[in-house]
Amino acid sequence: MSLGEILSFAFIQRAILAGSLIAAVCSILGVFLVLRRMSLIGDGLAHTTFGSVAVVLLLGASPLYVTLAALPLVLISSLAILKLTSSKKIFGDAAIGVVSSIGIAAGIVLASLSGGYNVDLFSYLFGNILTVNQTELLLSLVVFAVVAGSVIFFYQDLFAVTFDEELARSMGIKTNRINIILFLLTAVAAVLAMKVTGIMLVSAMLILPPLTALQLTVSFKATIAVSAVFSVLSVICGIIFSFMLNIPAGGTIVICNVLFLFISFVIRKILPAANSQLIN
Amino acid sequence: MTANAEERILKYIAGEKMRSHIPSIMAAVCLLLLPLLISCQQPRETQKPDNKIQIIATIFPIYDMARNIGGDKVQVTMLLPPATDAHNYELKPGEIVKISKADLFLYLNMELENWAHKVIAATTSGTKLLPVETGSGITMLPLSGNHEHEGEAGHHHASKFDPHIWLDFSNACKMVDNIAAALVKIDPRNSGYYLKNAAGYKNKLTSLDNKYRAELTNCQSRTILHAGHRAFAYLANRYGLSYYSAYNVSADSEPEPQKIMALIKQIKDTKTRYIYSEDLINPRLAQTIAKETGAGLLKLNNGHTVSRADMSQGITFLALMEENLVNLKKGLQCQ
Amino acid sequence: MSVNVISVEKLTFCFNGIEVLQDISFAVEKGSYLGVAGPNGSGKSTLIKNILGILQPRQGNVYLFGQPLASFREWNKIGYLPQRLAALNTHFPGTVREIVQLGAGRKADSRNISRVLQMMEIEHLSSRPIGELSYGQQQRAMLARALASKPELLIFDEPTTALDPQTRENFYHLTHDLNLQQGTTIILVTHDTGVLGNYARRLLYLDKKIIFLGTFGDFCASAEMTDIFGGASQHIICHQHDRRSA
Repeated sequence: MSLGEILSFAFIQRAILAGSLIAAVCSILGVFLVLRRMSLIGDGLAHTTFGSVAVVLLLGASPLYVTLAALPLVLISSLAILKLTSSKKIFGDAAIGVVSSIGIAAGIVLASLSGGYNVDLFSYLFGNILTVNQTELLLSLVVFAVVAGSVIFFYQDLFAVTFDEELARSMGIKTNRINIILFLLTAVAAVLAMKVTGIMLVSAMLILPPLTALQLTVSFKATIAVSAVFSVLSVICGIIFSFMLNIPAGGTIVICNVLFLFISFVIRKILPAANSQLIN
Repeated sequence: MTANAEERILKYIAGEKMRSHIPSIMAAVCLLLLPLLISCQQPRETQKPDNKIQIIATIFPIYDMARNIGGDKVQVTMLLPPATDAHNYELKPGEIVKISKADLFLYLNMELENWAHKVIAATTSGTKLLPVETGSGITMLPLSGNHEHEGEAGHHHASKFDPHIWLDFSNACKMVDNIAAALVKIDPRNSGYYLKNAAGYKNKLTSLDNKYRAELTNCQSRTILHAGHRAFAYLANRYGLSYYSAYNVSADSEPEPQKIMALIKQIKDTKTRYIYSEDLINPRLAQTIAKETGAGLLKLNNGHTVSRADMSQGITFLALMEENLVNLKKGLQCQ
Repeated sequence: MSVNVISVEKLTFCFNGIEVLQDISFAVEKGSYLGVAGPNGSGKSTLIKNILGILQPRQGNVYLFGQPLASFREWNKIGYLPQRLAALNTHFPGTVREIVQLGAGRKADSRNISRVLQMMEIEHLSSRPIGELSYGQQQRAMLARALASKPELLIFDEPTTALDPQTRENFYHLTHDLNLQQGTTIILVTHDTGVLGNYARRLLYLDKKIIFLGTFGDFCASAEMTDIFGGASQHIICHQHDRRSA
């Protein structure tokens, strides 16, 4: 079927639009996370989302509002990770592991309490961007506006904290507050990303586009912009290819992300002269 | 290092070694005691009131049939909780115990409950449990050749057959016979009672079958478009209808994109007014397609599982099928 | 009457239950050049971090420009050059210009940044990622960052370890000029006694507690300092100091 034909369907247009907004949000926040060595937080939050969705389904939430209903629990988990990370005895990556394990284990136990693996729960594992409805599209738009606004408003502070947290504090930046904001926004992004690629691949949405950008860019602003561009391109290509090849959309989007990453590696290798000044 | 210091260090290390035996001895003792502590726990005695025959049925149609055939001489429990899919059910340990204490274990067949053989192996040695394959002797339809065979995550092996045999009421009658035969076998004294009930139920099935046939002859559309998983092939077959489903077996993975497209196209091309969604599965896909095409949504319940609310209100298999007929008539626009 | 740029009262700081700073009290007047010295692990960097709010003291008060630390807001009055940052060793995606701009805060003025880059002779590097610069260039960039907001107080923490002598000399010459010509208050943490002798006018000697606080004149006359530094070193420092002020 032709490209024009594919794009003529309203549900595909919604999918591309919502997917792009969510991808942009994830990839922008992902830059800060990757540089602060918190790449796996996406995984951790995704696993928590699994547990939260199980709780929410057990309590009988209508499937249409599960996304919204699962949000509070995931927000709390992100703060728990933040709190644990600051403990001297548990390193950052282990803190993520702790919260992540609780999330999955809770999900498994709750799923069995509600009587066997609820078929709904499984569908959250793999994403369902093609069935995104008006409400979710609106939610994506709102979240995009909030995240973009926050990043712009707190840009200097976020940049400073990402560069060096102590230095940021010496500039009078309230690093705790910035960390909380960053983690809460990431939690929201993770819950939305579940829609696009499923819980299994939320991490990919957060870390692959920034990694791609980091191969090619030099300045911080460019890194954020390029990261967003690649993530949106991956969503568009991913959805289109999934129709042409008849494969699941969520996985295809992630594969596109990986392809872009691979290409960026290659570009970096074969252009050594321009290596340090590719995109500025 | 002075000799003095060396001596002190050695003593220190030696002292540590002596003391460290105690914790390991304690741990060993605890490990030995643990099995004793666990086995001392009394297993919960399940009540066996009134000497009724205890039956455990896996899915709703079997449960309902057993209730009707056994009448007041049996106590039937449904194994699968409401709103659960038997395709990938995870059996809890307590349930295996429960099954082993029952008289009859009714399941459909190895295609649907592919975990059944494990349960049977675990529970039939040394107990009086009689496992009954209620779908025995019924030929199954293969999953259509032109749909790609999906391998779903979490399944022990992927089924090649459509298990929803009970939606063809002649098959349902055979299931009734199988259940009745099992009851007669373990309780021959009441065989007359069971056979009478079975005949009565089969009559109801037959008259429902006739009703379906009559009311689905004169329809504007002869295609059931179902934004759910492939469950109504038997029904469609029996009444000469075409059937198209969005998912092949189970709705736990993403639908194939081209299938969604094809379904939408077909709806638009045939100007279908209604499409069908599944009762207990997330209706997202159905809603998306309905929104895209402007079609209305109607529910079809394949009877496999029912909601908590319906269960508590005492829904019956026959009642569900009557509801289905109403929706089929409306959706296919039959006179 | 000079205003105290920094005022520290009875500061105590613990790390993992161990007291790293004990009951520190001192003040820094506007326009002074204070050297902070002490053996390794004496708490010099920790003291600076407590003053700047990077670490929280267990007890005590810090006042910056007369205001308590908790309510202090005029951070662009302070320029801080920390000990070597980890991010400088990596491919951190930040250009020199972006990092220097951090120093100017929200009121970053592009021309101002360019001026400061020129001053540090790194304007030709402004589009390069900071991680790619040489050690000396990175120090200059970090110094540019500290200077970007035209601060009244500069705090340097071991700024010239591993720099070659010429670069080191240039650095201190600059600080000297800033102090004498602009009236910038300077606090220099270092264990390089030669530098202290040459440039600082007051000395704070720290070893968990304040061992010595005073002018160089007092330093040279102090018997305690002779014990710590040894007569020869003390003599060298004082000799350099005298030679300079002569």
